[in-house]
Amino acid sequence: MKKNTKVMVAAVVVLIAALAIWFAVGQPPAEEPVAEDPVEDPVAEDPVAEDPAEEVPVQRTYTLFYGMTGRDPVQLSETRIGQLVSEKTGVTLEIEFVVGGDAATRAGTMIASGDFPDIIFGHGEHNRFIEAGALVPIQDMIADKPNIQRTYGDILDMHRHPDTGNIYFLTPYRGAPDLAHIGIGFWLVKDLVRDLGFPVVTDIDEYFNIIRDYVARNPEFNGAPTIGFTFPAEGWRFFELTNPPNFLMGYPNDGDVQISRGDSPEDFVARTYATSDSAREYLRRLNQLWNEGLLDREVFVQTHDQWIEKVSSGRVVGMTAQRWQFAGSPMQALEDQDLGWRRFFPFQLLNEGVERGQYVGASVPTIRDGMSISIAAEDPEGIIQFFEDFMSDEVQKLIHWGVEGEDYNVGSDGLFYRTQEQRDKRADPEYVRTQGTDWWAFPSTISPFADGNQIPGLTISEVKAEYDEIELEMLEGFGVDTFAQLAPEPIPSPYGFAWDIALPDGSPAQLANTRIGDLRRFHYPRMVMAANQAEFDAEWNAFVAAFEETGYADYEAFMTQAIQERVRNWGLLD
Amino acid sequence: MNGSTSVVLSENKASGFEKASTFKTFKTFLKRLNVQKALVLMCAPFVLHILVFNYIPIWGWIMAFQEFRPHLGISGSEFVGFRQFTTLFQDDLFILVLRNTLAMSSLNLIFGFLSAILLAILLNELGNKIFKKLVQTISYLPYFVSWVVVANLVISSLSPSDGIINRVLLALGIIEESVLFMGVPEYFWGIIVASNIWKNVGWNSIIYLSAMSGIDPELYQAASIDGAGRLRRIWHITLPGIMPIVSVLLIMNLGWILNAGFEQQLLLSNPLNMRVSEVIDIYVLRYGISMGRFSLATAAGVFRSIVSIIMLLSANALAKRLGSDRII
Repeated sequence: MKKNTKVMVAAVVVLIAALAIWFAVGQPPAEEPVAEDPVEDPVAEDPVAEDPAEEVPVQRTYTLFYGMTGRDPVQLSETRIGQLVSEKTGVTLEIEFVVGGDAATRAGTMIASGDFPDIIFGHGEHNRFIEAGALVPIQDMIADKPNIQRTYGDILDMHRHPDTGNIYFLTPYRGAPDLAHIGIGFWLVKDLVRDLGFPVVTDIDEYFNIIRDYVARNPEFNGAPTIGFTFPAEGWRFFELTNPPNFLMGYPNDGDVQISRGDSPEDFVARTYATSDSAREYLRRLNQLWNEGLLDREVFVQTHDQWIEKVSSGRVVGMTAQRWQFAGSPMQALEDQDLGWRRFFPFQLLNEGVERGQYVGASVPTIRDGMSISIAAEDPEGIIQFFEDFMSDEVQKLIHWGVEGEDYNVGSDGLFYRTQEQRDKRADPEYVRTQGTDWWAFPSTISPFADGNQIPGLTISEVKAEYDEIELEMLEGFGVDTFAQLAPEPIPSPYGFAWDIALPDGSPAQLANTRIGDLRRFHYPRMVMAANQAEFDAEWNAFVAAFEETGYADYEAFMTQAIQERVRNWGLLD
Repeated sequence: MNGSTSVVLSENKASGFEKASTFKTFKTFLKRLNVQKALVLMCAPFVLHILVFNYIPIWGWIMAFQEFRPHLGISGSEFVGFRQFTTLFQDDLFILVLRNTLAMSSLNLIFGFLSAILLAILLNELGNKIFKKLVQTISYLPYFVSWVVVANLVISSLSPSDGIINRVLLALGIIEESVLFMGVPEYFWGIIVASNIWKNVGWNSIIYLSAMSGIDPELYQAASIDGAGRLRRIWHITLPGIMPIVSVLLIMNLGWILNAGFEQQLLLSNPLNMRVSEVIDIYVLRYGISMGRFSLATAAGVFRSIVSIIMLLSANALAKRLGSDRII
């Protein structure tokens, strides 16, 4: 008995000791500096560096936080292309990806513990890192870096923080136009567009009448009822219902506001359009479709997966959605079922009297977040040198085109091209993963290289080579080279896009915007599903009355101020 | 352990301020501590765990009385008194989510208890051992399925175009046109309760089954001899036999009355039912945390904790008065 007690006591003491040790070391030791000290003599590193012109870069390793969810966790430096990049720049990257989908939590723990990697791609959490003082201003370090200055020249000033004037990052979003496709609009199945003789539809009533007519003639597709019109509406995707009234009025995508323009910054004023006539008329049209049985009955109750399933089935005739909502596997699924013609083609519809649409926005760089250097980095100059080397033509060609002879070829005219085999390889996700051909989020050029070649996305021959037979037939039908030519030339925007203006946490503007969002989520579907005109009108009046209580003026005032600030600071207003 | 502590306490009280006596009490305390040192040491890790994870975080409640800004920290943020609570209770939306939370969790509590007890009784009455095990296993399997999956099952089976429920109802001629179940706000609480029962009934019944297996079989035999039928035996033996467990579980669950679940509502909500589906947690997430209004979120949490404590204590007191078992 006595002995037993002693054993028990000993066990418990050991347990407590273990706990105590665990608490004591709970703070993990600071990450040990990987790789050799960068200031070490480079000659000692490689004593047989013979060619003085071929400077051997100092070998170093940096940790990088990749704050964007949903990416393949590829350790780029271990891939074929990545190793070549490491050879050229001397830098090996250790990338930490967000596991489990919550970048905000990971960023929060990082900020709370002060345990930062060398390089941070903050993405949605970018501003939190700045607020926490976790990022190093880089404007002085990049001042004498020719490659960075050349490729970012005009837009470096846009990077400046509105309060401090410091530059904390290099944006990856360079606003290169998408020549291959129009990514937004009211979509119609391609075989219907073909059968109609490739018309350019801009009138919204004409569009819905085409759908009415088609569904009347084809009530079923492959044994299932045809769905006249639909859109994704689950959760945050609800904007696919709320944005169209703005496009129909001829405004570009500025999120929940539309911006008036003029000759001076003061002319740029933001106002909401949730209660506009355009919104009411659009909802009324959807209500008509609903009562005619043409609108997807489950549009407000289905999950996004269910919506995707419908879009992949070939049953959908018309819809509105941004292309990225459905461009990947659903369209592939249609092709696999030999239903390539049941894919979709976008029209840029307008209200009566509106002359020019701006569905396709101006190609402006998005200056919101990018690659930053953290205060924990021991060698910020070295990191800037890495980005400088990264912006060289040599490395940019590597990451965009690959290795000459392997990933692309050079024609007798000196122009780069890929064979069909090379293109097919790059389309394979497994190939992208193992070879390291996707460097999204890293600084990238959009201007031509010194030899006149461009990145593939801007090389017309490569863009055209991406089209399949059906797309080529459509191009021929419309009589254009690329689909981008079907939309009017985008109007330059001196403020970029309003949707990337972040509302300060807890501000009246943010509160008002959330309330507006909630109100729309509640009332819009009820209007769409109203049984008759009287019910619709009652719902609309209730919505407008409630809208007055949201404090929307706070939201408009904040947006106006933020946009005028951009117009003044960016100096793009002619 | 409990008993001895209270003895020590009462001795302490009796001793008053008399020095010698205090010293004596302290000595007795040390002596008792020495005798029970193994027990005390074994308790220590758990007490420590509760202190670290349940008590120390309470100091974060300070945030509820501040306008907390993460970069200023708790020490640097401005104190605003009860402003967060006023904001909360002046917000119509908060009152609405409070109503939804109370309604859904009360319904879940009532029907969850009734269904689990009913299933346990039915299983207990089953003579066929194999069939009993089979039903039990099948009924508690859904407990291990995550809400994400369950929500998708619910939405698909209630779908008006190809959902099984609508098809069955149509085929039976009960309805003429398929019903948009998820789009009718009046159905939502029912859907929540039903899916909750489907998911949890098997699991919840296990504890009652084990309580029933502890009932002396002689009681049943005696009752049979006295001519009690099956229903009488259930009413007079089985139910009273599990009553202590029922009352303890009820008291414990009443403390969670303001937690109606979170994933379930979040996953099943859509614009058409949002006015009846949003619960406190969703409000805290959308209007608190995701807007950086940490103080408001904390205030909602404080409010909920206080309600929980009140519910727990009053249910316990009620049980005491009614003479049933209680937990404190």
